[in-house]
Amino acid sequence: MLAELPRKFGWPHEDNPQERLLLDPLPQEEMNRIMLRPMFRAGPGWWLVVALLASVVLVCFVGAWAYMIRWGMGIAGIRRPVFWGIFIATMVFWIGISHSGTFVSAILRVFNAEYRRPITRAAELMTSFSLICAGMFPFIHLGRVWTAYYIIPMPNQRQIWTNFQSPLAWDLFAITTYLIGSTLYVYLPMIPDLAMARDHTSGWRHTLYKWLSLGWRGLEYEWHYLHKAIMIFAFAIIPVMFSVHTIVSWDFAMSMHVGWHSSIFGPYFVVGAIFSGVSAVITVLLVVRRTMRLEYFLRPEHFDALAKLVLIFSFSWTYFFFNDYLVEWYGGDWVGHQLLLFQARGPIAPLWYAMLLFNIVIPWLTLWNKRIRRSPIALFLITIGINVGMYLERVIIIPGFLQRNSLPFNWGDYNPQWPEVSIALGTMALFILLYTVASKVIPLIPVWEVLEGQLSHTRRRIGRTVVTSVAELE
Amino acid sequence: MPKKIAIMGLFTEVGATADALEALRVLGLREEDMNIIQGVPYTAKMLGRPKLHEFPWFSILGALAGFAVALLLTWGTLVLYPVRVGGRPIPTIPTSIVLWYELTMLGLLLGTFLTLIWKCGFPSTRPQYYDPLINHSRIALLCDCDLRIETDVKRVLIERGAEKVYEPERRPL
Repeated sequence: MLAELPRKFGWPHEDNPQERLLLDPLPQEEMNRIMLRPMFRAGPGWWLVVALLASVVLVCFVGAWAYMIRWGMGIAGIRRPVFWGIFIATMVFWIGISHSGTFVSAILRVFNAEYRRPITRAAELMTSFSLICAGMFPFIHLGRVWTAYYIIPMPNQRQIWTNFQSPLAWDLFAITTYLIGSTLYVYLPMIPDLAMARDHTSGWRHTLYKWLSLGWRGLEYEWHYLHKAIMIFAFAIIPVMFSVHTIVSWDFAMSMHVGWHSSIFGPYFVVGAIFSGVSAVITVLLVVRRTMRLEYFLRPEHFDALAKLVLIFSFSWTYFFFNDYLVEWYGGDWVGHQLLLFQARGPIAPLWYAMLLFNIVIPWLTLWNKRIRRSPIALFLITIGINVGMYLERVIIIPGFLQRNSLPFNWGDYNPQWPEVSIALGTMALFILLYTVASKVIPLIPVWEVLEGQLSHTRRRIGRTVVTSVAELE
Repeated sequence: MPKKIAIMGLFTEVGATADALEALRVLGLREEDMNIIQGVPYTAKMLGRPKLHEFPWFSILGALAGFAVALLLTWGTLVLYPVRVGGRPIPTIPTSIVLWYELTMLGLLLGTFLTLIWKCGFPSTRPQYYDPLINHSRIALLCDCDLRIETDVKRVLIERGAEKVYEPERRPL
């Protein structure tokens, strides 16, 4: 009778090793083939998508920006008191997305989270591309972009000198550091995969990979220095990541504007950035998995783990949001109250409620469920929704809050004009275009990291069950 | 001086490769005469090889250089071009910390990257000893040995399970 009990309760419980990438090895050449095959094939569908995206970039981004340069910033909806509009909100959004790569790659690498292995490259690429999109907005917002060199510190007749004590100058340096650091961080672990691609190609692709792989052969000392460099980068890029969005938040928090002047803005922005970044990673990975047929590498276990992170960051974001809201509400400042009423009942109320729906209600009601966390369609919709919600959050905080200030006679409205919306949409297309083109040139899965992970994973029996055992290779 | 020759053995197992390394040591080959070329990073411990230990001096130097540049920008230029505002000090510490930090980190990252480039001799376009089969689950053991012991080295590699033993030629990658 007692002997029957374990079976009755579904024991001995053994998880299916086939579900886990690191327990389901394939020969190295087979893995290389799975990764390289979609890179070297570009069907008419791919060209059509690229042509479409390029057209959108050309018309919506380049065209609208050129039009704005021709006719001046007056055609944008920026008016006193709303001096920062869609441009700055979109810049903050892209910087938020850029936190995806560093968080998924560096933090999970430092903590030895093994499920990170196939997803790091795809996430890191997002960092570089989104920073490129973000980096253009200060120039767009500048209006007279040809005077951009004024911000470079150099002796000149105008007696103007860069104010290094300003959060805007800090922002420039933080974004530059993060862009250079994260681009090198995506490049370093890519070198062995580029060498692998070099060995499998001929013609112009071979020449390209030959130069990009720098002459990598896979010698012991090359691996040693590569590992060391990757670890230093992983540790160093994490505080840089935190600093970038903190400094972006200081662009607002350092001012005396009601709603902005808050000591909690730094962590609030960082958590929001990671929340939207990890959600965007899921969206991109789902598309990559489907279009490049990378089902072997990108499995439900990876989406499950990332969706749990999204849920945790939804909790964290809500915590900071509520903290910020409650302090303003409890403080009793009249203008602060007007700002809260403006969000809940004013013209931006639909955006505010949509933000709460996408960032709190939907993730909380769905992501606790394992089946939803493993459902590609559900996850795709939820993560797209989160990024819509996070974009709205930036729109509410920046042009939304600017409509109410400490001088009621100076209150005003903001109506974004078509060039602003068009340029914002254009950068969305630019990001997708960059990623689509990169998917044909860059191996999106770090095959050597997956192989290394498979080396360290075994299964061993403990009592009545068989469990996964992970060895420390170093 | 005895003439040197390069010999390459291709293995499918890391254990067999480690055994071959051990046997070559017994034959009199030094650690620096042997090298492993691999598509998967087997550790020095797995191969029974001495681990390289080096302090990241260049990363630290890069960080210091970044800090120096930051100091120059935040304090040096402000002293050169002073803007006097309300009796406040020209160079201030709290607002300068941000740039010191950012540029120090940038220097650290660039220093680390340049260390890798320098130590590995990248970029290298010269012909090299190489076998693309390392991308097909093979581990290549490359050794430089005296011509006098060439036969012994080849025999040891075959005995320890090398799938193929040959004298490689330097070729463009």
